Formats: sequence, structure tokens, C-alpha cells
Amino acid sequence: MLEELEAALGSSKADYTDVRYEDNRSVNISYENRELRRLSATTSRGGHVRCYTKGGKAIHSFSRMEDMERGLAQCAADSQIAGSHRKAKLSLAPTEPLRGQFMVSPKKDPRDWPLEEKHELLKHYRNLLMDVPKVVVVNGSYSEWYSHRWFVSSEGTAIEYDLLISNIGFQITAKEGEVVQLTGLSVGGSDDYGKLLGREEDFLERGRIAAELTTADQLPAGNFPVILDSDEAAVFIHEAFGHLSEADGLQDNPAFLAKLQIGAKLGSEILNVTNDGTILNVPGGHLVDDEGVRTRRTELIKNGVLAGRMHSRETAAEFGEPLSGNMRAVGPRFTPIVRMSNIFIESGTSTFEEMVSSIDHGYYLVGAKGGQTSGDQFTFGAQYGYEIKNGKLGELVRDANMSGELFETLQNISIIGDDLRFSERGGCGKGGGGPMQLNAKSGKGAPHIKINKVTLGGAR
Amino acid sequence: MIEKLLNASLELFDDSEIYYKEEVNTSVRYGNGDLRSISSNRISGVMMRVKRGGRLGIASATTLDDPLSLLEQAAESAKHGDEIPYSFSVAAEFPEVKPYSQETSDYPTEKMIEMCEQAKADVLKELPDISVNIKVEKEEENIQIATSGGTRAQQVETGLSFVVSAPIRGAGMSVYRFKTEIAPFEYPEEVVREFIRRYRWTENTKTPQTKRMPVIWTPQALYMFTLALCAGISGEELVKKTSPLMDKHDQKILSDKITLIDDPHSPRVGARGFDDEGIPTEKRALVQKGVLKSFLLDLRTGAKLGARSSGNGFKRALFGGGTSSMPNPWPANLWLEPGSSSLDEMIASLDEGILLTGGMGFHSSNYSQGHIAVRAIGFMIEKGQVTGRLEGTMLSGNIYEEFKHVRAISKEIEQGHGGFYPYVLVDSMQVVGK
Repeated sequence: MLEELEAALGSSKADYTDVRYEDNRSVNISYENRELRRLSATTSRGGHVRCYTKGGKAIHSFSRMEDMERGLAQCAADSQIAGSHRKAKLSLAPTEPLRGQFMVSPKKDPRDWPLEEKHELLKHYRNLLMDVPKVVVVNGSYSEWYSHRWFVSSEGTAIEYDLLISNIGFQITAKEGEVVQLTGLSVGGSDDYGKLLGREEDFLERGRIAAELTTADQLPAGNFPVILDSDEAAVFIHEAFGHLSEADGLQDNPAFLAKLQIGAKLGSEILNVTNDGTILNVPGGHLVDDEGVRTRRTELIKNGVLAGRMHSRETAAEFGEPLSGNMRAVGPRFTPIVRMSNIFIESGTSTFEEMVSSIDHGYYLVGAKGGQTSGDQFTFGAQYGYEIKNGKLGELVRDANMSGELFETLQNISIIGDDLRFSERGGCGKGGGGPMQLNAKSGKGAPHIKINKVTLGGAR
Repeated sequence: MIEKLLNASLELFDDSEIYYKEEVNTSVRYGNGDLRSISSNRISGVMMRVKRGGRLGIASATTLDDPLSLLEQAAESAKHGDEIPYSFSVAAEFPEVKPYSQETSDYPTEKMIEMCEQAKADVLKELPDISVNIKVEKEEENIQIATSGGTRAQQVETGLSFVVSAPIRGAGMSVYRFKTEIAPFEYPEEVVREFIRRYRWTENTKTPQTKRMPVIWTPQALYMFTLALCAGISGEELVKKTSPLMDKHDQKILSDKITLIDDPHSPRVGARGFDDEGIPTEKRALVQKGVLKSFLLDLRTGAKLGARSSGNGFKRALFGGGTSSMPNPWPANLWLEPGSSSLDEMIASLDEGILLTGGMGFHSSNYSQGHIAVRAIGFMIEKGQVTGRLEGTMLSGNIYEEFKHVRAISKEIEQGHGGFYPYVLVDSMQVVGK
């Protein structure tokens, strides 16, 4: 494959050209209660070309190998046109040409397990959840994704690499009278099938909570101090801050970039945030990115001060900052964009009990339920929460959605727990100017954190 | 190619369906007033569904080049699959729709660049300090569905789209306006002019008091209302018995000013003669003068509920969807009936209120139950004037309560997510600010 791609590269008339080809296999099994909604083992193949000429850029995706040559020619020609119109010329930060193989080495490779066993495992967890009182709908899925990739560039890089991730996830719906409540949990999130086994108690706990939520009070609307569990805190750092550390989002927003200069003080001294793709046993681990740059660890916030960010070769050159190996695509039809690999808040020194006892009236929010960010505004949901009154955990509450402004909220992080944990669920959507790319291989982690004030958008 | 695959499939399976889609597109993107990239795609995808001994099998790939692998995938899947209570579509007459223009297909890249340059010049003349982003894209899609029951459906559609946006100074969020048409259009000066007007509204920031106040929903924000409503009338929720509209057919659920039509037949972007299961689409009211009139069903949920598909089986989702996903009930192309008011009249009529252009966190709201809790994106209205952009504001409520009290609907209609909508002035909603 590499020879074939390198031969095709030779015909390109662009100043710089690279080609990535992918051969992907997915296994998906999904249930709604006892109904099998999907069981499939499917393939997807295709390639992507990028050309730079005279500081202009063009990209092209193709599905059929026989369309590669035509695509390369169109892409090279488009880059000529782009170069003739582009005022501020684009360039690529230098990187050592890379050659060889960069393959996964799983402890228990999910591909070695027969489809029957995966199917049985999913049904086993499903059966347990369906027996929980008040639980009316159990949506469960097994997903496995293997991506075999080849990448060559006109600078001499020629690599073969792969990505592998498997998950089992459930969404649990409980109903009592008119009240319907949802919780969810996903386990695995790496190339190790072992992480999917023996997870009965984790799933059952979420099932019981969904049932309890149907009689819980709704969260009020207003401003409160909150404690976020590691899942929620991880979503917060991913959504609210992480996306602003991806340099491609700042490229066309100079006014915002001015607020995010290296050295800017963003939080209190206790706050440290890092992105590290070299941690391989959590969702965002990978060895090289999709422009042939090795993955590395990047400190983003050090003692409350902005210390670095995530880059492509193009943004690293534009910003004059070091490469980070974060340029990734989720499939053959997509161009790589700057993505977090594993972003996390580093452990602090406080205990959960210390946090609870510091709050007169606030809430403890648990379990990620999706989030969204736009510039400095963020919002995300929690699966459930507990009221905190006079320093003590109280009643379960439901329908929690919180929002805030990034810079103010970072400043308001007042206590950081000593219990860093990575979420087992990847998953991040970003368009980056093109079509939305949903990336399962995006990891996040955090300890418990206390935020002095966020806005809760409850229904009461 | 499709016929060949279908014929081979007939020998192995009792019933087969092939869905194939090709996409060819080119886009020019300007970032911060400079040409960022020219992007093109020539991509395809195929999905097969088969039945053997009543059991469902699934296969998918990017091309039709390897039929053997598709048939093997489908056979393996059908070995484990569940029995399904429906058959794939059979030969039918499809309503005539033609959302295609050869001129769009042939639209040259240089003209796309010209349109971007013109927009950039016009924006920067009025707002010299902003980082303006512009994208012009032409698309051609070719969808084909064939079944062993005789369905042969094909539709080719085109679209030319223009979008202008700019991040709000210092905040990172964007103001945007766009236009999409089936056939090429001249430089859309009116879109750029409205963009400039709205960008100027962002100069001040406002945080309202925490209380209930009127909200003008823009066509771009109304997807939150329509998606929540469509979740409630989706066969999925009916089968699960979790829909809040279970027993509400022919009952009044919303203000009598609300008439929402699923209209895939009018010649607009998004027109479709058949759904993604090869069933003819239907034009019909979902809500007529506030009364719930119909539900969205695909083959599966129709069979489970003892009804036929309403031609609403689409490979669409709030996130994801696409060729290799399973169809599920989804509206084809929505149309919310206009009223007699105008946006400017609505703004002028409010002593205090919000002009809502979007919401963040919709997907983490309990929206299938009608509940919406989002960070509000939009503008503050005071004494009949827009006085600044919202900051630190949340909006919450339940559509089945709030949309019972609609004060006015505009005569202007714009394209929004999933359809075409006017501006809707809702009497009062809970706003959380200061």
C-alpha cells in the first residue's frame, strides 16, 4: 500500500502533497430492551489528499482507489488557485520524516473474541438492567472500531499505523407516572477487551439511580456553588477549555487569541491541565497523528497560567509554537483537524469530604450528559445531582443543566480533589469549518472539583 | 452495479434492500478574510439490509466494488439477527420532485471565490475590524434505493450554499447568516446586509434579570422546538411508551397559531420523493392549529404499532446519521406556517424580552419530554429596541407549556435546521440571568 501511495504522490504538481488511506472495520451490536436493533461487522475504505502550493491549501476525499489519481490532480490544481488568492501564505512547521510501523499492542485484543461472546456479554448486562424496578427501556450497545491507516508525504514520511477501541454502553430509562428519567454509562474505551468484563455493579448502580430519579425533586434555576464528579469535571475541561486549546479554532479569531496568549493567568495556582496522547489505556491514546507527527504530552495550564496548546503543522508554524501531534481525522472522508487526545485536570490535594463541608447551599453534580461550547460560553448536563446543605450531602435531584463563562469559571475553581480518574467514554464532535467529525478516540479525565459559582438551568 | 448486487442477493436472502449514495462537492472557505482552503469530495456509501428466515442482516461499505464482502457481511449478520416484523418496501409511485440544477453542478470554483471576495469587501467596508469567515459550497447527491420487492428509487439533488459569519469580538461565539438554494443565485447582498445589522447588535453585552419574559424564537433557534416535538411524535418514543403525546392525537397540544407541516414535495432545498427506505413521502400536517394530527413512522415502528410507514424512515439523527446508520422516524422537510407579523414589529412590541438565535446544550436537555434548558444565544430587547447580545443567560421551560401561549408569528420565513420557519413570539419563558 505504501509503495502504491508513494507512486501516486510522484505525479502531484503541488509544492507539498500528502495522502492517507484507511481500511476500517466496525462491529456494532445494539439492543433496545429485548429487541436486537443492529448487529453488524462492516467495512469502510477511502483516502484523503492534502496539497499546499504557494501558501494556498486544498483537500480532497475519495472512496474508490481508482479515483485517487483524478483526486490528486484536482487537489493540486485547487491548491494552485488557492495559492494565487491567499494573502497570508500558509506554511508547515518542520518535522522529521517518519518511516515504519506504529501499531497497537492490546492486552486482550477485542478482535480475538468471537461475535457470539460479545453478543452474550451485552445481553447479560442488558438482562440485569431490565430487572431493575421502574426501568422501562434499556438501550445497550457494543461497539468496536479498528482503523488501519497508511500515510505518505512528499517530504518522505511513509508510515503504517492503526487505532483500536471498544466500548459497551447503556442508556437506561426509568418511568414513574408522568416522570421519565435517563441515566447512562459506557465502559471500556481502549484496545483492552478486559475492561468490558465484570462491570455488573457499575451498570446496576446507574440503573437504580435512574429509578430513584423518577421521584427526585427537580433542580432549581439560579446561581450556586457546585462540586463536579470526575466525569462532569472532565467534560467541563474538555468542552469549556479544551476546545479553546485547539489552535485551529483560534486561527481565524485573532481577538479571542489575544485573551489566550501563552502566559495568560487563567485560574488559581492549584489548577494544572495537560493533554497527553501517550496514555494508551484510555480513549484518546495514539502513537502518531494523521500528518505523520508523533504524539506527545503538552502542558496546557501550569499553576493557573496558560502554558501551551494543541497544534497542526500549519498552526504550529503560524503561531511559532511547538508541534503537539494532535492533527486527526475520524475517517477517510474527513480531513484531519486539531483534536484533543487525552485532556485532564491534574490531581490536587483535597478530599471530597473537605469540598462538601465547605458548602452552605449548593449541589453535587454527577455523571456526564453531553456538553457544548461556543467561544467562551459553555453548557452541559449532569445525569443527576445531590443537594448540599450546611456542609452535608442531601437529597437526590434531577434535570440538571449548568452553564457558565469559561474565564470566570476557571477562576472560580477553588478546590481540586486528589482522585484523578479518566472517563471510559470517548466521544467529541467538532467540525472545524468542515463536516462534523465524531471522534470516539478522545479521552478526558479529572478529579472531583469545586466551582464557587455556576448557573443552573433547572426547571423549578 | 446495484442490480448485480441485488440479483446476487436474491439467491441468498428472502428479502433485500440496497441503499447507495454518491456525493460530489466543492467548497471555498475564507477565514479571517483570507482564502483558508478549497475542499472537494467524491465519496460514496452503501448499506444493505436483508432478511433470511425472518431475521435481519446488515452490511455496509464505502463502494459497490466488492459485492462478495457485502453479501458475506449480510449473511453473518443475519445468522445472529432478530426476527423483524416488517418487509422492505415494494414498487410504488413516487411524487414528482426535482431538487436538481445542472448549473449548480457545473458552478465554477472561480465564481465561488468571487462571491467570497465580494462578501468580504462588503462586510469589511462596514465593519473593518472584524475577522470575517465565508464559505460557498456546491453539492450534488445521488441517492438510489433498490429492493427485491421491486422498489427502484433514485433522486439527484443539488445545492449551492453561502454562509457568512464572524466571531463576536473577544467572546469567540459567532454571528452568522446563510442562504441555500437548489439552483445558483447571484451574490446574496440581503444576507450580508442582515449579517452586518446583527453583528452591530453585539457591541454591548446584556444579562437580563432572572424572571419570566417574552422570547422571539428565530428560524435558526426553532429546531429546538421542532426536534423536541418530533421526538414526541416519533414512532420510537411511541413504541417505548415514553412519549408525552401518547394519547394526545386530535387533541390541542399547542397554541392554535401553530401549524407545522411535513412538506417534502414543495420545490425547496430538502425536497424528497421517497424516504431512506424507499417509501413514498407524504405532505401532511403534524400539528394543525395547535391540534396534534399525525405521527412519524418508519417501517419498523409502523409495524410495531400496527400501522404503515408514513414515509418518514430517514438515516438522520441529532448527531451522526448517514448511509451506514439505520433509518429511524424523522421529519422529511418541515414547514411552519407563517403569520402576519414581522420581526421588526415583534421587536418593537416588546418592553423587555429576548431574541433567541440559538441555544447551547439542547442535546443534554430532557427534550424528548419537551423539556428545554439551554444557555441562550441571542439578543436583549428593551423598550422596543435590540440593546445588546446576551451574556450569562439560561432559558428553560417545556415546549408543551410555553408554546401554548404564542403571541405572534412572522410573515418572513427562513431556512432553519430541518425545514423552513417564521419568527415565533412566545408569550413568556423562564430566563435565568442576574
